[in-house]
Amino acid sequence: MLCVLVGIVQLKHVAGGDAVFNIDQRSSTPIYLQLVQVIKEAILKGILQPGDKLPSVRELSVQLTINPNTIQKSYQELERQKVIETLRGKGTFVTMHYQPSKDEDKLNLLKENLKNLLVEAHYLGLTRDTTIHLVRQLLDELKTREENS
Amino acid sequence: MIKVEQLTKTYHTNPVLDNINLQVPRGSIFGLVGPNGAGKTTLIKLIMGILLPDQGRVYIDGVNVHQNPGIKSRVGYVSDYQNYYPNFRVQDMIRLYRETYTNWDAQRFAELAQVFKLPEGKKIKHLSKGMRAQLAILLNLSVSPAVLVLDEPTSGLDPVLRRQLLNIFLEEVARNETTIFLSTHNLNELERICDRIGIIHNGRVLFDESLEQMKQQIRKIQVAFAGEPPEGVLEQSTILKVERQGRVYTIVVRENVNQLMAELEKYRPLLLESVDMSLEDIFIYRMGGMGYGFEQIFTQ
Amino acid sequence: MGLSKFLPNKTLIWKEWLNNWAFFSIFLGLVTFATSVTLFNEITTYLDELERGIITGDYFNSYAIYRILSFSDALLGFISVLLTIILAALMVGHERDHNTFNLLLAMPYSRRDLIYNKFVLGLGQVLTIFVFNALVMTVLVWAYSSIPFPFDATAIWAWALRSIVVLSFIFAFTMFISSISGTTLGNGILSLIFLFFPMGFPALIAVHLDYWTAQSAWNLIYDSKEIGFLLTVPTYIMDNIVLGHANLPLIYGVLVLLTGILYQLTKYLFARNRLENNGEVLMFEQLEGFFKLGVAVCFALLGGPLVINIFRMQATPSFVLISNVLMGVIFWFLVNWIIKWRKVAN
Repeated sequence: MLCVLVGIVQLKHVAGGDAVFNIDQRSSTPIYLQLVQVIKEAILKGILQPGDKLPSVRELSVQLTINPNTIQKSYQELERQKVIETLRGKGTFVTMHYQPSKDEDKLNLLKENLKNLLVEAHYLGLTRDTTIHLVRQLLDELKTREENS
Repeated sequence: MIKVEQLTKTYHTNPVLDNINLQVPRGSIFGLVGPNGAGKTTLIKLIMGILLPDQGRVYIDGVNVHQNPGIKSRVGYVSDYQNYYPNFRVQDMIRLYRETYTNWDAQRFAELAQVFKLPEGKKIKHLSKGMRAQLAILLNLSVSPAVLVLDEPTSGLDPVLRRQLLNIFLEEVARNETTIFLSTHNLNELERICDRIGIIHNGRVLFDESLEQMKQQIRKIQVAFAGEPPEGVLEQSTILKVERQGRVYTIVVRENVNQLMAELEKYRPLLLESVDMSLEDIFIYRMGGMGYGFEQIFTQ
Repeated sequence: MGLSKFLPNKTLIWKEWLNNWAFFSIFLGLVTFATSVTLFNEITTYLDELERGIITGDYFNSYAIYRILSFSDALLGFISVLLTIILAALMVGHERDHNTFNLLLAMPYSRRDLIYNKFVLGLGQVLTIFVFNALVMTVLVWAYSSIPFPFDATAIWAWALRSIVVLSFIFAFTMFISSISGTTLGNGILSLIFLFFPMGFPALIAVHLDYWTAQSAWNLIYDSKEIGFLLTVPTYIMDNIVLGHANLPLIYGVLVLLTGILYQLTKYLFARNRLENNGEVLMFEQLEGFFKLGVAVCFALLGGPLVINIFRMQATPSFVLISNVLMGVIFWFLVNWIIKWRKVAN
């Protein structure tokens, strides 16, 4: 499990992928929150599943070269959000009945991006109807692609 | 735990440190940042009791270091250049440490010796800088330190080794709740490693807070309006800097970032987004707000 | 607290030994060669010549060893003094030159621990060298008891005691200077200057008095020379002027007391040492004025005698005066420059 988690973090780090899931010290998001996102994302994608054991603070600290107190803080935050739970003497596990709630931050970001695109569409001279049509068309396209695969 | 009280030091009438106060709680890592020659090493040598302060006190676990040097049996110290006897062999240095420190941990030493694989028969003067640093870290971690004082411990080492050493320090903190005081002029990795940081400049430690706090306090916002920007909004006291490129304004704001975002939102801007800032930028603005011109610190 | 404070620290002594065993071996070797080996050579030569009938039984010409044992071997005395100065100067200077005080003071040792253990090892080594040779020579004298030696075992041990007491003082004095000066060379040279200063300074004054007032000040010169020798401790094992006709227990007592005081002074000064001044001529800035003035005055006094000796009859009074002033001024600036140069080099 440790390997998987470290893998995700490091891979994304190297690829410079989605900023939200990257441990990026240049980001304005504090590292502990970035780590919270990484773990939630891993659960969302099924890489971590309810009941899975998480690496200890010490292991993760050394693997990621991140201050153990920061890792501790992330775990506390995740515990507060009931994403993970600590069983005394056994370790930290993903909560059995964890249901990923809609991620508000992500939704906001999506809205923001969409808005920017709409502004651009406006300046390209697209009418309201054309824009809506375009969105419908793209959604259909995605749907057929998903069915094919 | 390290506590520094009103520490003042003068070299030949030049003030080097001026009334320094700081505290590093147990199990945490404090990062001291500053350009070369700012007094980092002086502060560290004062904490270690190598130099004598003109004024002020240093406590380690509540014990005054300068009055009770015995407390240093629980303090490890790694400087950027190891002042070891050039004619000693590695095994002699090991013996010196083993016999000096009452809490020498033979098992930990054996563990680390496996990792570093130092040639025990070699003389100190024939070791490379990296080997010397590894030897210093090996020795000082084997004394079961409650406090580690590290003066640029990884400067000039290759990235792989640096990462390895940083990991060893982190493991020490996670395992034994060791307190670490670390100095560096390298901002990279700082946030990953440190709980709190301080910047030393002109003999003062300018602030002592977590990077997380700092990051959240200072933000850069990009905003664009269809017409002229609403009057007064961009002249608030929390705004440190406004730059204009065409319609787009880049604003650096200190404190109450969300409040400003909400306020700007009301004027229906064409664009409103928060942009990431580099740590360097954050430091510069953070200190600029205190009336210092600090750009030169990071542009060496 | 209590007596355990006076127990030497095994580790610090070992570390010190690892740094100076080579020099100690040279010291031991030279003294052994000059005393025990010389005595043995004399004995074998004597027995050989006796056998070949060159000499008769009651003649024993161990002149060299007799000189050493009767205060008057200037060379061995001077070499011992010089080696002791180097021994002490290196003990502190080596640490300063390699900045290893930074290492030791970051360890759980107090500044007193460092100085105390240096004294223990240094004095121990001086003791070892002379006790060893006294032992060897005693055994030789005892083994060849048929030879009519011009001295007995008591003289050998008196020599050892004299050397140990005087050299201990020299060691402590150099340690004291080393707590003020910041380099090995500075430690050695300053110690040498100050140790011979009581003899040298009156001598310089005497030359001047002699030149300007001719005969009238002769008595004064003569008296000051006596006092000068009394104050110049290294002469005690180089000459018999002081010890030859003096109250030995009193002089030894004073020397031992002075050694103790110098240890306390060294400890006191080292505890206040600003280690950041390592490598500079003087560790204490307050002493700079005195030091510069002292050097300038001494060299000014040296200027006259130099001219008098080189130019003999042509040395007119004004010429002598000018050379005094010139030397003083030159060395005042030279010392200023050296002190500044070391500071910048730091």
